[in-house]
Amino acid sequence: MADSTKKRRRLYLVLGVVGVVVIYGLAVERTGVSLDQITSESRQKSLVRIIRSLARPELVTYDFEEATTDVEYYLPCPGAASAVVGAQITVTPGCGDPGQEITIVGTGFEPFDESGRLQFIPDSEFDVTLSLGRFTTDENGEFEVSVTLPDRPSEAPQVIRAVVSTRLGTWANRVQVWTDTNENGVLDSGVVEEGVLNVTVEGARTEVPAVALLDPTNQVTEFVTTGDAITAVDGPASGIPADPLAANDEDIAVVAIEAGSTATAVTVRGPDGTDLSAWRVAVYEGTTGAVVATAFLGDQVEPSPRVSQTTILTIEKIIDTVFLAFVATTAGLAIALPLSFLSARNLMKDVSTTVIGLGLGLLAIPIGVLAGSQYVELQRRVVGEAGRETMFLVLMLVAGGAALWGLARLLFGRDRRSPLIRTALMLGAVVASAAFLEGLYGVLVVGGEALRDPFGVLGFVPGLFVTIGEVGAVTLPFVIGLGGIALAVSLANKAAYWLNTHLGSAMRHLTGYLALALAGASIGLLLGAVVDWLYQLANPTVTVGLPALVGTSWGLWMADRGRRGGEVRIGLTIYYITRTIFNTLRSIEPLVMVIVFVVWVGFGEFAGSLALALHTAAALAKLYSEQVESIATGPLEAVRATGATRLQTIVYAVVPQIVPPYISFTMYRWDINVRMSTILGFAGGGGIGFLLNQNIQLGEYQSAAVQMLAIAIVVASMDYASSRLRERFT
Amino acid sequence: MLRVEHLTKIYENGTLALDDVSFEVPDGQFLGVIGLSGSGKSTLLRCINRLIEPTEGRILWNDVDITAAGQEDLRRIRRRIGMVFQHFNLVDRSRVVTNVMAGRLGYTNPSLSLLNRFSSADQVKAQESLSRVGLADKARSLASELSGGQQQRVGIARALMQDPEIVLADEPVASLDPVLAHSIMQHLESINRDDGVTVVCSLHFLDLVHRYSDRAIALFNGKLVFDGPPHEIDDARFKEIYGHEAERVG
Repeated sequence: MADSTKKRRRLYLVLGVVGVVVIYGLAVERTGVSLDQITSESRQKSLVRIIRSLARPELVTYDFEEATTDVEYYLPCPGAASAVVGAQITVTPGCGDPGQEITIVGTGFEPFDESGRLQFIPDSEFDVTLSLGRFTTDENGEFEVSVTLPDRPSEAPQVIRAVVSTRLGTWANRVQVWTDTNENGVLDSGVVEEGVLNVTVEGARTEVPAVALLDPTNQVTEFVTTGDAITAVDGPASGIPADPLAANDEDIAVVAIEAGSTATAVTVRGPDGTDLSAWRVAVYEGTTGAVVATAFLGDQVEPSPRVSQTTILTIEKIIDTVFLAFVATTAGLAIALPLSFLSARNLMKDVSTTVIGLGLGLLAIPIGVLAGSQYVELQRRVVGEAGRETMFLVLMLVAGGAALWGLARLLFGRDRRSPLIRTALMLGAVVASAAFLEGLYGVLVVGGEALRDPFGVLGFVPGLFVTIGEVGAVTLPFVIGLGGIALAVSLANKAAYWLNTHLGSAMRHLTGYLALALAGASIGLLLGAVVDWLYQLANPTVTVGLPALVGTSWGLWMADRGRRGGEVRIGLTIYYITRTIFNTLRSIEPLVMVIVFVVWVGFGEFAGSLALALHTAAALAKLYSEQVESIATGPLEAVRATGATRLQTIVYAVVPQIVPPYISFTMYRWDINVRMSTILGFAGGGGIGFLLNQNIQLGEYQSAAVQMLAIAIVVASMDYASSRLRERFT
Repeated sequence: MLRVEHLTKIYENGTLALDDVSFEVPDGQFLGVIGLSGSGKSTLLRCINRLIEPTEGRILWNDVDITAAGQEDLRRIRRRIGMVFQHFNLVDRSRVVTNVMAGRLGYTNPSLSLLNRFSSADQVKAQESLSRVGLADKARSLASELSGGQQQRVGIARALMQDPEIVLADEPVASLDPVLAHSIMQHLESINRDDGVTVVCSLHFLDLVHRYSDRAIALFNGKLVFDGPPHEIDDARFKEIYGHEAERVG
């Protein structure tokens, strides 16, 4: 007996080992683990290149000064030549054939590790350079490099060139570098002196010039001509008729235009000291209205080294990313907070209702939401055009608010009122809220729009109000629908209570069966409608008949169960439904969700925040509800024993226990969201991931490194900050 | 008059916690409930205000059937029944006064109380209740900052807020230092004597039963094994209630 057990154990062990080997074998096979790839020279070279680029994030941009030294070179050889000797480089042999190896020796460079490029400039009408390789100097400022000649044969002499690029300036000693932005060969300051600014527009050849002046935002501020009245046919001023010169009394205006043989000189007046280097002029052919050339009024002078464009863009995007995570966390929190109680087992397991209560309640929900949203539509139709008038919106806001306030005072007053009067008051409150909210949202939109310009750079503050107003207006039917649900369910509860206490046993059961059967049928029809919408079956048997039948039978079955047990435990059903929805949502990665949202709302941060918000809602609801499930039950029992309602019990016994962990979880989630939002851009969700993805695709690893650095810094500091803050709340 | 008729509770896991228990409590009585741990004392008390749903039997209070009450009626019944717990069951992170106020929830408008708004009359009442248990100066403290004895007094103040006609006390002194037990029991006694409130109190120590209760009932494995004046519990009865290996101490 013991022996056979031993044998069986040994067999299991052997089978286990074989199983593990098979699993690992498959795993290695399926994941394509390959040493060849790791050791192959080309792969290693690219790895080194990428790692080196990543180690040099392009945080700052340097301008370079290039020093070149050339030798003339014949390819192929017209005759024998031992070597060509240039000022600093000597090439041996002195001429060669395509693909031949030659030796380039350099002297007289800066000693010690000065590096440069070797180029071959072929005989071509285009500006072409071919790379021959790189060199690095020794301690004497010399180098010797073997390179291969390219396949560019030509009769004419071609050029072999050594280029040494030197970085301009250091952080301690920055140099100003002039860039000839308007390409006229002159350093234009772009600053008005003694009331005028002169600029020459190279390449603007015209007898009768006309000139359009463009401000930094590309708006044409004036279009003047030295000739007859014309209208621009293309270019920035397209469609604008020309004024005679100097007809404009603006501060900044064109005062003189002088046509030259190759260029047009333009004089612009303006207040002394004004920097107009971002302004442009477009020179038109004054007889045809066609654009000839455009140029900036000033040239750019930038320091070297300077903070790179990549760095600036990265900082902007990482800020967007943190805000994306912030918005997503807030939205997710708002959804998860109330729902977390519905998915907490300990709160839901005792929730039960009578059969009639369940039936009427289920019937009341769709009726309530429909009535509420329809009422908003009705209100909008009645108000009509007047709803765009600011005064009318203010009137709605004030009147609705006052009515709401008065009704709330009556409703929450000390005096006990009969259920019917309370219901009437609640109805009034819902109606008043509809007017109040419509007015409020309208005022927010109108007021926000009006304040946007006066606020200047702070225009995003009124912009927020506009967004709140717009979102509010869109969601108003839903919100009032919720009010309708509350009203209808409360009515249904009262009716159910009355029926339960006033009906005889037989009638009560009959009513229960009837109510639940109707409720089941309506749920079935609703689901049927969803299925029909989804699959477009257009088959009434499947989308109407069957669901109604199944729903009715479900209702009767529930009623039967409830009749025997007295009450129907709906709490656990709600618990399982919410749990299932959350678990499903949570198992879809935001990176996948974002793809759906990109289709819906387009590329960008908005799609990213929607996807992240949905995932956050599900994840937080789970964390929260688990927290609710782990609270001390004693206080819950004590508060329930005082005769408190369910809601009161939650507020007095549950909420105080869960506030600190909720804060902690929310912060943790924000931390996670910042991390996630950095990669949402890979799927089109905006934020820094977009830049990173772009740079990786383009092979701009030095730029990508800046984004990686930014992500690392932000994620690490969020991590640190959130863990420090969380310590206080646990 | 509280009447318990043929009360039986079988938990979902099959445990028989109460087995056909019947007794009556006249108004104004101090009833001690004794028995071993697990004998069904807590279940019995919790069945009275239906924190635990009885499986069978009825509980009648002034001829109203508590066991048949709907949710709304149950709330109205519960608010007249104060309850004091072995582990005090205060919300640790809330202030003492908030814990006491919770006793008033059954009487307040649900919507207003959610915003932590109470009438000034209720606020005065909370101060009075706290003064009565000698904790007027601790109103603003957090419940967790109080000692065990003080926490139980807050629990009593919470029950007082309910203007109770019955107080159910579930082992109110079992997790306290024995020297504090009398202070807590005296508060319950005062509620019973001075306010005429019926008290149903489960207790471990027989000497506390002798000292404070008018009458005692004993449970053993869910069955009622004794009902009578406490002094009738002699050695033979004691063995019946606490099992044959038990010995009297003190």
